[in-house]
Amino acid sequence: MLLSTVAPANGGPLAPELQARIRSATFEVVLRKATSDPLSYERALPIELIPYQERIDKFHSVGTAFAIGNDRYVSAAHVMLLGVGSQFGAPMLRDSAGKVFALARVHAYSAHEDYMVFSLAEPASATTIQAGETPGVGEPVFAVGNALGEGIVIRDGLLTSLTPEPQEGRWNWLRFSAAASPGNSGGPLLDAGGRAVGIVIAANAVENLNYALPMQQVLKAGEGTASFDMRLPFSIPIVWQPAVVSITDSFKLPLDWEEFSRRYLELDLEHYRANRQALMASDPPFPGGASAKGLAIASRPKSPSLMAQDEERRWISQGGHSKESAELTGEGSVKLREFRNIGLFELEPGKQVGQPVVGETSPLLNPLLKVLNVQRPVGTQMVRVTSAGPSVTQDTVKDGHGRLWRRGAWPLGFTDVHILTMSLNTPRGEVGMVRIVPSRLRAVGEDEMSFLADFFQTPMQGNASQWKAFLERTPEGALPDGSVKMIFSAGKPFAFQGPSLTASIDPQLIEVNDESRLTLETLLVGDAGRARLDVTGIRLREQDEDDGTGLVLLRQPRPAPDSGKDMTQRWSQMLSRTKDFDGVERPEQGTDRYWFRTSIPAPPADASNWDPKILYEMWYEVDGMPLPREMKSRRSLLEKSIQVTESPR
Amino acid sequence: MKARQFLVAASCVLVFLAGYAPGPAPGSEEIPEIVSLDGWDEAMTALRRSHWVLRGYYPENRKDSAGRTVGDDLDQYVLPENIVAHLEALRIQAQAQRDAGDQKGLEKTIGEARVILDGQMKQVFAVGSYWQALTLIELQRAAISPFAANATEADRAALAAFAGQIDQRLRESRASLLGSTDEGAMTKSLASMHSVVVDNAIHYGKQRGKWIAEQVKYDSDPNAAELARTAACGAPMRAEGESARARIKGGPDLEPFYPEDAKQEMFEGVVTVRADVDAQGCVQKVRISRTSGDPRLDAAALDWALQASMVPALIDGTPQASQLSFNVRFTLN
Repeated sequence: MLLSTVAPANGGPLAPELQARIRSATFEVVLRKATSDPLSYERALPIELIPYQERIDKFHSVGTAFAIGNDRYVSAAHVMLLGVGSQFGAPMLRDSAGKVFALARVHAYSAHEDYMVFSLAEPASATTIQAGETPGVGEPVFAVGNALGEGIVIRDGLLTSLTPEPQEGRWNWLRFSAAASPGNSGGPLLDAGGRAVGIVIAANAVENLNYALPMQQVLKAGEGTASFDMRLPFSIPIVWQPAVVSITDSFKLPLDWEEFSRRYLELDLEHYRANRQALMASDPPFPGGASAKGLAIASRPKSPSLMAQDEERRWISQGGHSKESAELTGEGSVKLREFRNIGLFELEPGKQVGQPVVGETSPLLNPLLKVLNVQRPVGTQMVRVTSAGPSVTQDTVKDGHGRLWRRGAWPLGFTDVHILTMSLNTPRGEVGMVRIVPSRLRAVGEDEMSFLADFFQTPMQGNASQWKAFLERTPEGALPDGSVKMIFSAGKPFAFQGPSLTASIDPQLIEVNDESRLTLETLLVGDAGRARLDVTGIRLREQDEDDGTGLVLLRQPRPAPDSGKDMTQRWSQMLSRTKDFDGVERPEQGTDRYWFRTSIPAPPADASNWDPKILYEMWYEVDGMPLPREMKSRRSLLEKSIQVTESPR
Repeated sequence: MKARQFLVAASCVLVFLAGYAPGPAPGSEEIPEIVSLDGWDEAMTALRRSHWVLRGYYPENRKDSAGRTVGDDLDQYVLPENIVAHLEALRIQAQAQRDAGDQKGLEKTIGEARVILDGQMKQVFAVGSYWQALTLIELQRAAISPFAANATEADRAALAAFAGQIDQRLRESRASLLGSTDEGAMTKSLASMHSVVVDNAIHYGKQRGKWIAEQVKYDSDPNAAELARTAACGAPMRAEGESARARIKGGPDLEPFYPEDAKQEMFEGVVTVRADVDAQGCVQKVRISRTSGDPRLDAAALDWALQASMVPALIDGTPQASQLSFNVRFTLN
């Protein structure tokens, strides 16, 4: 193992009594392990594979701190932050005898310089480490710390250089060649006299040139303030171009740990929201300006999607790429797609459909775990998590369109992360978003998901009996503002009344039975510079299949002049009811299916000024053997049955 | 190939028109034996499908001289609304009889339906035959139009008069064919419709040949089709007797070269081919010297000519390369 006594390359070793003094002034930073585990796994955990020391330890060892006297202790900010918002509680210090000390108050904090000065609830150390001046380049230095959770070790090297911090060169990082490991963070960097000249901050991944913050920076700043002054990249999933944001803020110290954490998380969330707002306001803002072009692009996702910018900054529906899918008992299924780190899921519970699922949070995660592939590392093996306990968040939130979302948050226990979900009820099950975030970012993560909810679009699909159950538990109907009224029930003619379309379909066109399938496409539409949710597509099938007798109605907005030849050509065919939209009945090659396609409303007799803002595309298909004249009469019946009520101009 | 043979064949394959028929025409579809309700339903499906299949042969809005489309004819003669209603009523009756175990009643109803369905099948064939005939006549008219423009007034007037007679005869045979269900009468009407088509083809073939002979000079088309040898020739031909030009000694049977679609559309013609023959009697290159008026026949003539065997020219006892022109005649009688 690592040597705890060292022979410096230049100058002598630290005297043994000095080493003892240093050890007693240096501590591990620890977090208390979860005492119970609500998770279930695919098999019994092979805990014998975990090294003995780690297995019996009731704490996670996460870094190093040291006493600087006068009941003051110092560590790296990024080490101490592991206890902010953590499911494991506040960080604590542990001495070499294994005694654990609780934090009292935070006295100084700097996010950019990466340190924290704090006091303990009871004195922990008889000795302290004195601060020293930065030694000359080439002088011997010693990195002291809790390397890899093995207890306090001292390793030697040289001060190799001074590197200006990258943003403004406000201070110089001490670069040194003494070995440093992840657990070293927060530990002292000593000179040959055993004085602390720096705080170990980061190991260099590729060579042994590690970073420490000069102790003089800490002393110079004094106490009384938590300060933040940094530039960071900032992005949100629906905006293409990340921004670089400056976070400059401060609050007064001292505060006790709980108060510090609360203040820290508040500030984090405030900055996140301000940065998000600024990013959304950057060109092109949604849904106006140049982005209107994107809204006109006829993308019709068949699965949940987000309205998001593509690489050309157009706002279009994006469903991401398919990640995983799994069967559930009772012919159910769960499908997961991923769009820029957001999981978009569709859950069909199968036979249990129709049971009210809103309000029961815990059953949601278990089927999702079938596609999320969450694994717990145990020694050298990975063990898959199969179920979780109850959610720690169980509430509902309304999005900007009035949709009621159910939120869930599950801590994983073995690691400090939460699985966050937001889900919507649909006739066939649930759809929504899922992501995994560090516990400290839970509030930001939940806030971002609530924000993204406004941009979430989903097809709502179900057969007649599923829709019946859905509408019974959702009195406002298919759209949350109650603007859609419909009848979709076996033995009755299908009737639909929405903000932009009214339809009443005679049973001789489509005869609704229990197995008939209705899909409502709900998408954001641009309307007078605002985005609103509307039913932009209706797909009605006599049977619960992708083909066969059916009717498809799709809202098509007028494309912008620069939308490309395909779009404008298609639009002009719709306007004039020619070519693809001529309404002429045709056989589908190689099948006994017959169809026609046209646009509604019909162009007026004098079409010279006919320039509507939207049209509906209409397909009708018959499985069977109608005569052409029968198809014609169905077409004229259909045209009488459907009215576009959205102002066409 | 005798015209008479073709006529017999045509009466069977009239609706197998290559240019328009991607598959078997509905008239030639196997008519199910209607002895049960299943056969009945199959016959109904076949009749309904015939509407789509026959319409699919012709461009939309293709009209005859009376302004009708094939869809109009189908709507009028094949499963018109009253027949559909009658058959549906019978179908319900048959179902009830079967459910009630009334075998005798069921057979009677099926018998009644069979008569109607058979008659409807014949109507599909009649409509198909009429549109086929119309199409064949129009193809001939289209092929002659480039030469009619330069013909004499008198010739044009004569041809117009002939076309009028053809139209009149086609209308008459159509009137007796469509709507009739009597098998004997239909066969007669069909035969007379065929003779209209054949008479038209023969007359137009002759007229076209005559106008080409009058209007088109040999070797006058700089863009005339030509074909060069790509494979090696067989054994050299021995020259026989002094001759300034090569002579045709023989060639493969012409019949297989006659394009099938041109045959079915009854296009005949004479193609003048000019061939380059080398001193070994090998045909190196062939070119259309004067067209037949039908590019399919022209191409077939070039294909044939390249395979013809030639005796080379012999001048002063030495075989010589030479050119010669000859006619390839495609004829149905």
